[in-house]
Amino acid sequence: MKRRANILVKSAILSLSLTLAGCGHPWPQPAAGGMAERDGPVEPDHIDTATTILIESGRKRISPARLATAEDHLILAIRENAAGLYEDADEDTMAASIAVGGLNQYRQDDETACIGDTCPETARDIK
Amino acid sequence: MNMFFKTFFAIALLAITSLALATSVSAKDETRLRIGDVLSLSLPGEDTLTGDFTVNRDGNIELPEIGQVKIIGMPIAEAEGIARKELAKVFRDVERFTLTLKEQKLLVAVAGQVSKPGTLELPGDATVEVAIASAGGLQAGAQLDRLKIIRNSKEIVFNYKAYLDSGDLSILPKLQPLDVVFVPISPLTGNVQIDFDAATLSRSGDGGEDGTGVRVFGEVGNPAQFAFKEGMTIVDLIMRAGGVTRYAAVEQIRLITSGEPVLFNLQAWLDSGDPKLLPKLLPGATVFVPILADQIKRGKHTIYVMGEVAKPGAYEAQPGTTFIDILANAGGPTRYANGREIRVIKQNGKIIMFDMVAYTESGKAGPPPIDAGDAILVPEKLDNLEPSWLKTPPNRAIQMIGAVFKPGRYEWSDEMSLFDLIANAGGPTQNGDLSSIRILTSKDAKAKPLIFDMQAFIENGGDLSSVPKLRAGYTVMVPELPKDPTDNKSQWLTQSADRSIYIMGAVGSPGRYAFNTTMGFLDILGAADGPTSQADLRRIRVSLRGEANADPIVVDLHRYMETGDESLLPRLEPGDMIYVPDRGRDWTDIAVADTVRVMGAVGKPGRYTFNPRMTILDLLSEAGGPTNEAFQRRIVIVNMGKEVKAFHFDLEKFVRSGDYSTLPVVRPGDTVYVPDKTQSRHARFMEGIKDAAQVVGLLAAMAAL
Repeated sequence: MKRRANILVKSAILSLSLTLAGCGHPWPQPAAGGMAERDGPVEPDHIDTATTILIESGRKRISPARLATAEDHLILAIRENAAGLYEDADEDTMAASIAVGGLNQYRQDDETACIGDTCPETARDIK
Repeated sequence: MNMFFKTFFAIALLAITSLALATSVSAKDETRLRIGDVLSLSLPGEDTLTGDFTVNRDGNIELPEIGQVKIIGMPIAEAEGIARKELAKVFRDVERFTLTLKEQKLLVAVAGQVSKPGTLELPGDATVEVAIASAGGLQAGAQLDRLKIIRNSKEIVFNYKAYLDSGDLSILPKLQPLDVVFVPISPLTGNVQIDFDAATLSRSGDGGEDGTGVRVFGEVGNPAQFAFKEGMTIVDLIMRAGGVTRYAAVEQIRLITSGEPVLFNLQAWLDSGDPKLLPKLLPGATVFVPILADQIKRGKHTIYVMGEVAKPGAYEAQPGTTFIDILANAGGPTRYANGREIRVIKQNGKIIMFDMVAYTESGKAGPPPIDAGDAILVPEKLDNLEPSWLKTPPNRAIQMIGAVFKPGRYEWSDEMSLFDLIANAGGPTQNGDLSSIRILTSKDAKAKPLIFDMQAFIENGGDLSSVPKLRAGYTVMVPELPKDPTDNKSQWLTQSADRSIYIMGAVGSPGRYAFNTTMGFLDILGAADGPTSQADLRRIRVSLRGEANADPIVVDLHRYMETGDESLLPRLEPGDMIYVPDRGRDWTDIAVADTVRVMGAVGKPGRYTFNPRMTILDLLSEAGGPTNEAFQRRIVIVNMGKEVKAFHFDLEKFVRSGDYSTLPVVRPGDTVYVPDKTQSRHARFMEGIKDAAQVVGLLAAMAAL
């Protein structure tokens, strides 16, 4: 009798363990960054690109379509950066810079960084 | 004293008489026999040797039983001795033989421009004048200053006209037997035998061939070349030419002698009579009497007839002259005349219309009064019933066909341009396509097409030298823009492919449209009635067919409408193709990189195009939202960028908190999975309990056994 009771107890423990083990579903990590641009860019490169877009937009030296494309890439880069997709963020940052055409990044320190081949003489080539 | 004078007078009279007799004998002795002379022979007792004998053409007389005895050129006495001597050979008592000159005759021939040319037997002292008269006289056309006598193959030319003018017999050569008098014909009569009258011949001039004639032409009665006569003046010459006409510029007469023109003012000479005003006229001179045009225009009785009449010009109208008189003088209206709209322009500027057709048909509304100074204009008939285009030969006409208001043949002048031609043709019609005017040039029986974009030239201007130069004989065609291809495909298909562009897909009227480089992308899209509501404006594709191996261009028309950036619109060329895809197209036609996959517990799982600015909330809304079975706390997003990572999104938490920082990044190419509630921990726990209870129950049953 005692032996049967032991079997029942062990079975119950086994079943409970299996049940608890089934509750442990491997969900991926929480997402983030879907509207990160609302807080503004945080990365220096993003700030530079945003500054460039703003300046170029004001100067009307770049066509509206290219500015819009640059904005799209910048928004995506900011989101990806916030989501931890850093390589994608770098790629979109580059795409945003290329989209504005001049490839001149107006940095916050008032210097101009150039990543293209046709940069102004005063630009600092960071290529 | 008286006795002395009587004696002297008698002696002088005797001397004179003796001298006269001696002269007479000498003259008789010097008479030499010529051909044709008639001799009187006598030999008593011989009848055959008594009678008249004529010196024949060989210069002989033929004596019976003797034969030919040559006596030509001999004095009569010598001829008598020769004949006696010959007769003595046969006859006796020839001492009584006598030979006397009975009559002299002249055998000549007259040829040429005389009434009866032929051989004549004339009196021995006959002159050229007698010979011509015996030949029936001169005929009209005889060249009087160059008559000739042909004698033993030699020619003696003499001026018979000078003889007629002066009566000087010394001008005429003395005729000899067997002479031929030849009367040449004037070169003015030409090479064709015609009957002409002397008046006409006189008007034609009498100029000789030796370059000494004087010519007069211009406004004179009978322009011609006339023989020059010594002492002739320019006035004589003008009078010889019938005087000046009423249109002659008598103050501007030109005399050209020795190559130097000299002005002669006939009016001044007539007014003054000053002989110094008369320039010297020399053989070979030329006189020109110019026309005084102003005088025609200002004639006191002049009426002008212009337009479609046989002989337009200025006509003199005496008082009483009627409209019909003038029109008849002008040869009447031609068959191209518009007889219904004849205009009489009065001297005061008033215009009177006259319908000649109505007048001839009904007799009503008679001709307008006509006065000196009035002008009659007979316009050309413009209606198409009369083929007046035949008037213009092909080498002076240009053909205008196609989409213009008045196609047809137009008389061409090289100073006109293509613009003049099209304007004259009424301009292009509403459907005329000025962007590809076709010009068919022709040269040396070869035609070559040429296309000119007049539309671009009008809009942008350019070098006028780039406008094709037209020439008579060319053909110009203004093609017609096709109408709506759905209305009239047959006409639309006549449009050449090199002027077309193709638009297909989600537009109102896909098809082939006329196109030129002045049009743009939106023009074509608009012509095709624009994109449909299902058109995917972000991915309009343009195939550049004219460029080899060129990739299609993707046009984001949506972005264009956002930004208005014209640089987004491609520059099209004829032959390109536009494809506007449909958003509802087959999913296999949509590129993977352009869509986000939405799977699981949503209303409409599937692939959705996505904009980076959108969020997962937009995507879920488009996909119909999570279903009631959706496990909203664990929506899974798989990012497919350079890094492939999965995240989960708790929609319930987001809805409760509004924390947008928890929104996941979603990009085209990513996958969103919405699990159902069976994937929740609670569900799984309860399922585990259920399974465990079943296991425990099973084991308990087994233990009980």
